[in-house]
Amino acid sequence: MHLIETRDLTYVYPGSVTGLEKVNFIAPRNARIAVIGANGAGKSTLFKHFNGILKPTSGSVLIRGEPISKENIREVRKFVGVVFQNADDQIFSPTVEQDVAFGPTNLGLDEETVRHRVEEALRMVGMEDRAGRVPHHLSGGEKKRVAIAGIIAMEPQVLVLDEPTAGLDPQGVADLVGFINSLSRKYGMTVIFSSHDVSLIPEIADYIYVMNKGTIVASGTIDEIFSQAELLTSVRLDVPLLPKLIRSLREHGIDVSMAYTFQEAESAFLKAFKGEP
Amino acid sequence: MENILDDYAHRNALRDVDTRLKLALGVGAILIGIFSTTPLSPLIIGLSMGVITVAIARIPFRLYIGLLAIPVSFAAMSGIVILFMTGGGDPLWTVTIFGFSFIMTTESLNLAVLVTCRTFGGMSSLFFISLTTPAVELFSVMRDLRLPKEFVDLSMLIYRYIFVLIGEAIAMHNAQVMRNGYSGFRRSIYAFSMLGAMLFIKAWEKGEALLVAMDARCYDGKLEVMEGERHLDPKGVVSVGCYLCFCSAITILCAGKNFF
Ligand SMILES: Nc1ncnc2c1ncn2[C@@H]1O[C@H](COP(=O)(O)OP(=O)(O)O)[C@@H](O)[C@H]1O
Ligand SMILES: [Mg+2]
Repeated sequence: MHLIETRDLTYVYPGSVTGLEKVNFIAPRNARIAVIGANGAGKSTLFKHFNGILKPTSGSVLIRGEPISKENIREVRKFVGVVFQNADDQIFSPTVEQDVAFGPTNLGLDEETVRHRVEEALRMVGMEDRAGRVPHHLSGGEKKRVAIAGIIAMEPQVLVLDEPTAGLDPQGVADLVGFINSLSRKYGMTVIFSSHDVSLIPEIADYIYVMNKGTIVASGTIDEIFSQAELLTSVRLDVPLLPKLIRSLREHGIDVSMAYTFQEAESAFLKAFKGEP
Repeated sequence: MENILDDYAHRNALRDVDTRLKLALGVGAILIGIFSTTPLSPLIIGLSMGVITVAIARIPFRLYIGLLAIPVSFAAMSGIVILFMTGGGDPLWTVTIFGFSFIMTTESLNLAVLVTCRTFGGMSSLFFISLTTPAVELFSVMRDLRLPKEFVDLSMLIYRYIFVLIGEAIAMHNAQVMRNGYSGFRRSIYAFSMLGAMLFIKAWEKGEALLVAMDARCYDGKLEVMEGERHLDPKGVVSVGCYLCFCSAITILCAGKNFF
């Protein structure tokens, strides 16, 4: 049984704009899954199905093997936390801590637990010193972090992040990478995120879905996807710089083993040029 | 983004003083001013509140004067009307305009002074509250006062969305100005009506997005008012108590006493 599974999921927006077409998506336990695709590929539309905000036109969405229904929607939303692409749409309380407290409060937790979770969530996104601020005095990146904290505080099993790195500064992106990895490693959470920043993917994902025009055109491990350069360019994406460089070196006859993350590439180059193991 | 009163309230020097204390001071002063029959105590309240707001809460003096000028000038105008429209007492001065004679008497003068002073005292107390207490602090007090939950929740959402809407309006206005939207009268009318129409649609969309956002986080009819550690500072309580007693004493001792 998979945590999230979609079967031939099709969604048509009002005005017969096809958002998704026959999407088969699987999220197993404790996985880090990247959904990549150009603008308008249907990433946000897919994510909105994971917690029942959109209902399939045809096909089905199964959460822990069960379709989403009126009876289990609360459980589903407790289980799958979705952080929207636009943080402004998600923050509606007068202050940062009140907004983060919204989810846990509505789960019926007592005040002490709520306070604890709010502190913990704000600390995790590095916003603990801005708990009393009003949202309209925050920058875009800070709002994004508050939005993430608001979902984290509900302690979902599956965390879905729609374009989490868009609008973050380099340090913010680095923090987020560490944060996603620690959620997966420490808490065994399943993290699903979308992005079109391909250079980031190898650092935070085990498995990739490639979307284009509402369909999934490919899926596989980092190796499998990033070795298909033509596929990626045909859907308006790109191969990350490191594998691109290594491939080109290999074509010039230099024996470097393939690598995707910075650390892997570093040791591959050291091995190739200095002969170190 | 423009600074509005609430932004000053977030930065004033009395930000960390207990909200209940600040409210007690402001509301108490307003009530004393309203019930006072002598212009003396509202006048004292008005001046002392001004001093507290500017000197202790460190609100910029120019801003404060500018703010106060609005209600006080209204009060002064209505004072002039009262001066010539009410009667009683000894006539002091008569003016004749277009054959109508307007008479100023001692009683009308006293009434005009009283009304103006009350307005002055009340407004500076109100500005004290609004410049030292951010609206977000009021919600927990509202809940303490056992106001209906629906009312408090609604105020919280309205508060947040006032700023969302202001933000949208400013962003849209900037976008229009950047592309010459307001160069000329006809264009201004066109751009402004478009702004209004789009703002309505945006507000509607935001409302729907709000519903989705609340649902996505299991909305169950609860909005949390996170309360920080609150403790009433005894020194503060004593000084607010003394101040209110002093003003009440003047009101009672000088009841009915007028300047003229
Ligand atoms: N509310 C909507 N109404 C109609 N069409 C929409 C709406 N939202 C998105 N679409 C369309 O659905 C497609 C997929 O959009 P989206 O899922 O937001 O893409 P992505 O998040 O991958 O950039 C796009 O072609 C977009 O124009
Ligand atoms: Mg999107």
